[in-house]
Amino acid sequence: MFFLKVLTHTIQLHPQYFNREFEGNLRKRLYDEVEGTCSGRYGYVIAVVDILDIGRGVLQSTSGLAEFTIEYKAVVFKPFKNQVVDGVVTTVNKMGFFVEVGPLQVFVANLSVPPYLKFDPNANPPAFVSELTDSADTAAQRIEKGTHVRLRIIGTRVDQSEIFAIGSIKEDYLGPVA
Amino acid sequence: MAASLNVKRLRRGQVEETDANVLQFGEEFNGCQCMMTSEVSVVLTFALDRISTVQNGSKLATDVIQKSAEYCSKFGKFANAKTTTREIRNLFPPGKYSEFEIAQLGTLLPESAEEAKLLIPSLHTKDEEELDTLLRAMMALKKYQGTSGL
Repeated sequence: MFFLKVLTHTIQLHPQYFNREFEGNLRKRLYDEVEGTCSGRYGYVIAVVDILDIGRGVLQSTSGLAEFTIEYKAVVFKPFKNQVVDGVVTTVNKMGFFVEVGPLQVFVANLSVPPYLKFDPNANPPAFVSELTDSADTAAQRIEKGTHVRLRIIGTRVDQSEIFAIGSIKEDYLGPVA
Repeated sequence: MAASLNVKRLRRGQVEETDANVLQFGEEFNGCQCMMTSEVSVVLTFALDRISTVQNGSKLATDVIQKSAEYCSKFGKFANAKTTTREIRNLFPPGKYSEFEIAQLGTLLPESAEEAKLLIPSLHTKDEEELDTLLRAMMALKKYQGTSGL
């Protein structure tokens, strides 16, 4: 889920940058240091939207660097257990398939795929294919690289700087979408 | 401080229980503003603009933003995102639906109240008729966006 969150970041500025453009410098350093990072606590920090407050720089008596505490608003992405998301399939193998949801990779295991979708080892590219039913049911479904899929995140694990997630499509209204 | 089943005080190393079904997102995100995919795509176009003009962003940052921007433009279903998402947020009666539920409904766009309740289990207490009316209004907005000159 994408959130708009207010975060703080501390930057230590070397005296060589104490000039007229120090604010621009600080902003640039903020973007460089914070955008694209991922943490277990806030998820993926995707982009800084607004800088709310730069604060007064405090000179560190030991190092001579000035410490600024910057308050900013950013778009963050954090997956939550039981949340339904859409994504694009990137890899398919006999154990399951990987789905890319924004910056995050979600793995859907074989066991979380409904029984009517089976891995077809002879398919090229590799795919999960549904057997054709003879009722008035829909056309054969296919999951291969590039398919749009709706899945439910059933578990997440957070590392220091990475998030891993697993998902399931074994429910109504989940699975490949047009 | 009411203790609830799914909220634990953060102790060293202990992970907090989070569960979207009961709207528990942990200390950091409970009550935080949620965004629909279409809203994010609007914000990211500005961010990408800024990156290309102002800074030679680190490869990591541009990778993540690029991926997210592509994802949002693929799955953000509103062409005229700014006005349409504002209209959609105005559809909801204030106070009844949580931030998460509003954002999920605007992102997933279920076609019926039944589908909505299955995809977003925290909605199971809401009135079906009201939910149906809301969903139909959202579908109409999606279909006719940009043509009314709003």
